[in-house]
Amino acid sequence: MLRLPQHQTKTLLAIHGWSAVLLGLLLYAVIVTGVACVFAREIADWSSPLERAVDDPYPRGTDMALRRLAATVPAQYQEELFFYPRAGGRLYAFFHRHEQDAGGKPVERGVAAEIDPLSLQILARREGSADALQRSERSNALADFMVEMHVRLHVPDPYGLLLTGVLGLAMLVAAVSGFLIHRHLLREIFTLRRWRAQRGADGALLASRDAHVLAGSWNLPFSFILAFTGSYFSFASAFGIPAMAMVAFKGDQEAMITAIVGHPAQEDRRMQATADLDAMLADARARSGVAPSFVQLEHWQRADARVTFFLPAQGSQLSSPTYVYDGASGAFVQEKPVLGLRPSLGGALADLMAPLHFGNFAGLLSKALWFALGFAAAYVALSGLQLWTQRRAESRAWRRLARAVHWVGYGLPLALIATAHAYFPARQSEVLPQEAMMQMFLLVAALSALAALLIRELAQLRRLLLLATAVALLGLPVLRLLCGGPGWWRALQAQLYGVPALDLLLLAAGIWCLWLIRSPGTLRMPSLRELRS
Amino acid sequence: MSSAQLTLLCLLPSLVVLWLLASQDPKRRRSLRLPQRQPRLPRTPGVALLLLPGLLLGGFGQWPALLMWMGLTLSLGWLLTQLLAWRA
Repeated sequence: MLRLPQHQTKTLLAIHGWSAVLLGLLLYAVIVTGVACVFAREIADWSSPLERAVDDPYPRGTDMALRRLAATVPAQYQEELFFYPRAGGRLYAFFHRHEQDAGGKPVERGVAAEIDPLSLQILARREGSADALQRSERSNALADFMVEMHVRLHVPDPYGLLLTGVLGLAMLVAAVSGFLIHRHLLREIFTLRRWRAQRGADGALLASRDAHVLAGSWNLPFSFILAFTGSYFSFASAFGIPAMAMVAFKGDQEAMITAIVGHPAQEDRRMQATADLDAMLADARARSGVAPSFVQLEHWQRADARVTFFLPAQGSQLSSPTYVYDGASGAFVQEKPVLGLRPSLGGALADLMAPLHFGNFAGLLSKALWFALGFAAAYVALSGLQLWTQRRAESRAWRRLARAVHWVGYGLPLALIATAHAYFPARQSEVLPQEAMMQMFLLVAALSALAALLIRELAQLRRLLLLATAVALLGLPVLRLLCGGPGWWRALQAQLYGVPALDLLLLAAGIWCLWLIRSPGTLRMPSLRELRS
Repeated sequence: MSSAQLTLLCLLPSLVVLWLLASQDPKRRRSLRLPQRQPRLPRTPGVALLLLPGLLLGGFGQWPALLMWMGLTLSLGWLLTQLLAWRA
């Protein structure tokens, strides 16, 4: 060990603590956005519903609608097509080809369209690269914003993915180290001395410590699962796939993915009409009993066309099967795992990552559960950061950091809700929703930072930010209605049950924030006066 | 039987055991200054009983139900501790 002068040791300790807290704040941001992303599909449906609920995302006539779209797509973009249902049940179809940008990064470029499954009319049509299309997205933009924040923190590739991957590892380290340092985990798993919160600074810290340890202990297995699977997703895209491609495929990521997913069929570039997609969809549905979640068609109108149906997990299974059809004849070829042609341990483990991370394996129940567990993880992260900074609140530097923790802890949910306030008016106008939401997010983050700088007492800052969050939550259903969204009665008549349900949840969350303002709860932090006395 | 039904079926006995373990927990009672009670269910067999439905779900390969049972047991355990602290 290096022997350092005392003042240098102090400085290094401060840097060590500050960097850990800053990393913790970013981790908190990833967790909070992850909690919202569990319901990304429901958020998209709520923010952009169609006239009525869509019973069947792939109705009879889907084939005809896709062929009508294909007739408007330049031949160069007909290399590949995928389609799947998203916001409001709209069928999103993307005819594209694979290119490489100036930096050698794989890019998809083509024509995307949204098809109304109720009328089979094309609602929107855009052309460009996948990134450009996402920037100009309208109906799915609110959900996309949340997902992008969670996956990359809106930092460009590959740095955003690397950052969230590192944060996932930090969460993993926090879960394991928390387990190891907490010697009485089982013995104290029911201990919460809430009553001590009102008995001076020491009592408040003890109650806060209990609340943090308790949430962390009960949430430990899921923190581990979410952190591990989250890191897997971030590192696989940012590092794993390019590294493997470099080693084994001379940098050709497309060739590597083709090899991993399954051997490509013999290439046959002759023109041949693609078989009826409606018939293939009906066959896939008859075999599996469910509608596919995603459909991919390689080599549209070619003799070697191949259609792959990705199906959701069913029954007692967590893994999702895929069906492969010969695109030219429409004949069923095989059921295959997502990776490789035959079931394997590696393929099964890779297949488990998505349901374990997204919690989407058993409908709304499993999603609600993942939401609750994610919320608990966010609570653990925030309470841990608050405890860490408040325990050192005698020092001015740490008091500043405690302020930053309050700013991010309460300001981030506020800024995220504010993005929805920017989304609805932007969607009605010519403004790009993604840009409007980012501007709103930064504006609210800046305003809450200003409040954090100006307000002396942290408890007061907490109350103000909670009040603003409550107002934003309570106002959101009203704004949705004012911007042309359906009212509750109309939504119920159109079987759009998700619309009033999410409105009610927002109202309940707003009322809960108001209750939190009145109740100090177990996370009451001692004031400076209490600490000094 | 659907995964949701299986989950709820296995959750019920786990909740009863959880309630017993929480209500008699000596550390919790001491910290809340409640009188100590003779445990009706010793801790080790209690924890084993708590985990039994999950082991059965895993043994029968009911993976979605196992994950939901685990998540619900953990979430409700956390909630129960919060409620017992309020009551006290």
